[in-house]
Amino acid sequence: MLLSGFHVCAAGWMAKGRVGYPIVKPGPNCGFGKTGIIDYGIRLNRSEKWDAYCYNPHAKECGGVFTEPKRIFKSPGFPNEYDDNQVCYWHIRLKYGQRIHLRFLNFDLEDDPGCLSDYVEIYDSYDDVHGFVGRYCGDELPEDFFSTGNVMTLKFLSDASVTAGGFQIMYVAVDPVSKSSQGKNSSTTSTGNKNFLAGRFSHL
Amino acid sequence: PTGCLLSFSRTVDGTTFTSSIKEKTVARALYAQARAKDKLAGLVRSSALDMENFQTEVNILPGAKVQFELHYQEAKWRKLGSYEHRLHLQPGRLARHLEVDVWIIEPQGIRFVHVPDTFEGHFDGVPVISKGHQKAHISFRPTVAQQRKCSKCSETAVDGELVVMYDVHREKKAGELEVFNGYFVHFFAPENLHPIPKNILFVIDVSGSMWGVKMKQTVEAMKTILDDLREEDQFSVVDFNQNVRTWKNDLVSATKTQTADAKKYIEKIHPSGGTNINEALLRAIFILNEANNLGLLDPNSVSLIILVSDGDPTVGELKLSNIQKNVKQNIQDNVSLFSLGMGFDVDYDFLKRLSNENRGIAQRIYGNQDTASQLKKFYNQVSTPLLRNVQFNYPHSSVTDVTQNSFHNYFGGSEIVVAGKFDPDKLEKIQSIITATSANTELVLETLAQMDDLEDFLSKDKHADPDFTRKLWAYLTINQLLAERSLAPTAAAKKKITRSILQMSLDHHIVTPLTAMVIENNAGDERMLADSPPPDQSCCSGALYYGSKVAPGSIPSWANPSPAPLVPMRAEGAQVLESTPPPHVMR
Repeated sequence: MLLSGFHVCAAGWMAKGRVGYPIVKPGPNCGFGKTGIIDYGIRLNRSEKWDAYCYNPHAKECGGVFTEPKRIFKSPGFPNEYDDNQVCYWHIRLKYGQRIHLRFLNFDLEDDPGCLSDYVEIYDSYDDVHGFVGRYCGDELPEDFFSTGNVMTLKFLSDASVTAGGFQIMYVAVDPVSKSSQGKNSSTTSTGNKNFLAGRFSHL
Repeated sequence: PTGCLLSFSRTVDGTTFTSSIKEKTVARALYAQARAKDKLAGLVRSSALDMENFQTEVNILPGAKVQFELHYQEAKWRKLGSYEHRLHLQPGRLARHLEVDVWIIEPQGIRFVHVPDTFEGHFDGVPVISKGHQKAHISFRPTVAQQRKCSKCSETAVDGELVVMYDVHREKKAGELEVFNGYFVHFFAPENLHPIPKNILFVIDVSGSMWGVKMKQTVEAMKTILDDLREEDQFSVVDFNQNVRTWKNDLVSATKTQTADAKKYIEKIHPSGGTNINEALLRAIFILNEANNLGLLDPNSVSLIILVSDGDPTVGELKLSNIQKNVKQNIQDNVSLFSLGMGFDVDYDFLKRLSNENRGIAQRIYGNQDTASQLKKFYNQVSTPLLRNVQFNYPHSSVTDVTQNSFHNYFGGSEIVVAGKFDPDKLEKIQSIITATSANTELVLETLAQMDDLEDFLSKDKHADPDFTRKLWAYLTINQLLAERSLAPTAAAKKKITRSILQMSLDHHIVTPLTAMVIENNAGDERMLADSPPPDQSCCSGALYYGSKVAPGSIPSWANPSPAPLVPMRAEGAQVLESTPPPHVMR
């Protein structure tokens, strides 16, 4: 139920004997105008008839929406090789004002010129349309990346043949810096243009 | 612009920089060399919202003159009955001379030219259109006073797109075959045919995340879409969150009463819950398959599934590759699946793969107040199937390298484009035979074209590019190779295709994912590099069709074309044959 966008106007059993339902968009008919999990609390009578909620964050093979300040995510099956025909989207959404520091821990994708086969793409934005940062493949660790805002989108695609070891990526929230040290930090992004060409593909 | 970059040049105080296409690694090496010597200015290209941006920086002395020339080529896909040329105009300030000229040269003759108002009436009457038979010119030259946002403002009102729409005459049903210098392009967009009845299933995501504007706009669009169904059409609506519901469990004729009932059903939807895409698509496929097995579908009809979703699966089968497999295993091979991805955080590449491998395309719908009209516009593109099983044949053996030439459907308002090569020494003219099934008959459309006419016509105009047949052929072929590559079963097959793409990019001077453009001055001591954006893995972005290839000489036996005449014939004399199939043809 942590998934953003999960909105159900029907109360159901949750973990530990509680009953409630998730509301994303507030409305008068459901959730009393509040958002989040509308919790009826622990029910004493366990034979009451409600719907049931179960959320298994590991059921999805890859992708998801992350809001925690720090996390490691992996290619499907890692440390085993990923499969053919994979599509994974990761959306990182941190608190307003925070930035995202992305670091590749392991990286091994099918190598080819232009990264036409299997690749990871980073977008410095809410979606995979704006803010294209780079496309990566091969086995060279891509450089660290700092977002300009509090959101980032990553996607991993593999084609119909040839797989490789996969990857592990870590991100850490960077809290807003005080004015005195800002000059130092902002240089990371302003050099973006120069890194752009070099950082775009695995091959130089 | 969208499309392929062909060349870039700039002149700074008399020094000209010109461009060349190099294999990416070579280009990078040249660029690195220049960078090491600190002699470069970067040209960066990036992609956003289906659009490619070019940026260039240059340091100049005060009073110096700088001239930039950017040549690019873009395939225009006919949509909803017209071609559209969009020019982004964002000068950022008032400009003393701001002149935009658009020349249109069309051998077939221009039917209309229209410049819609895209600046909220500010430039009413400023674009001047002059239209002749085969040529048109649009001139947009706002004065400084006209550019001002208000009479005393210093901001410019030129901040948006200038759009030019036009279409050409199409007298010949067999399409226009344009031939030049060993390459031909076949434009096929017949009109005045009876629509083929369609069996259509709307599969609508009503999960919680659709709540609000998205759902409201979807309902609004669906109401007009249902109104537009023809009585011969059969339809139903599947809506899903974690559960799958249907308006009717079977396909129903689109009578006024039925569509009115379906509209009421859709209006009552309250989005909530998870997203079970797998189950919803399998249900839609099941309804179509059942109807087909029971013989309830008109044998001459077209079956479509239209999926509208804004999210990735959260309930049921979550593995995207498994959903793809399930759909592919169950769907019959005459059904086309179109997907509309609503909003920005949809797993769009998944929808794209899902549609492309099931004879359809996906489109992103940018969720806002405009959603309803975007949905309606997409639907209109596939609402009028006019032909099925369209196959393009070029029986002469010296015709080679034909692009995709077999298509499941042809929809009214669009256009199919096929290109190929031929040996001009062996062939004075090109014969084409198109076979297709229309609403009431099997069609055989023949045409003949020779090259002289076009060459003559195009060479007389400085704005025309007589070589466009070759470039369009190369562009289509590279796009199709990229699509083939993503399905290649082995590393070796991929390598082979990669080599072909690279060779073609170098031969035809096109920036592709494997090449880059090096821009340097005559002395070679100042360099820039232009990269291509990541490619759209699906074929021919912007095109409605996902075709396949068949041997270009493989004409169905019943088509029985006339033998290629030995005496050269003029293209104007092309004959159009329509025939009913002989009895041995299965229908």
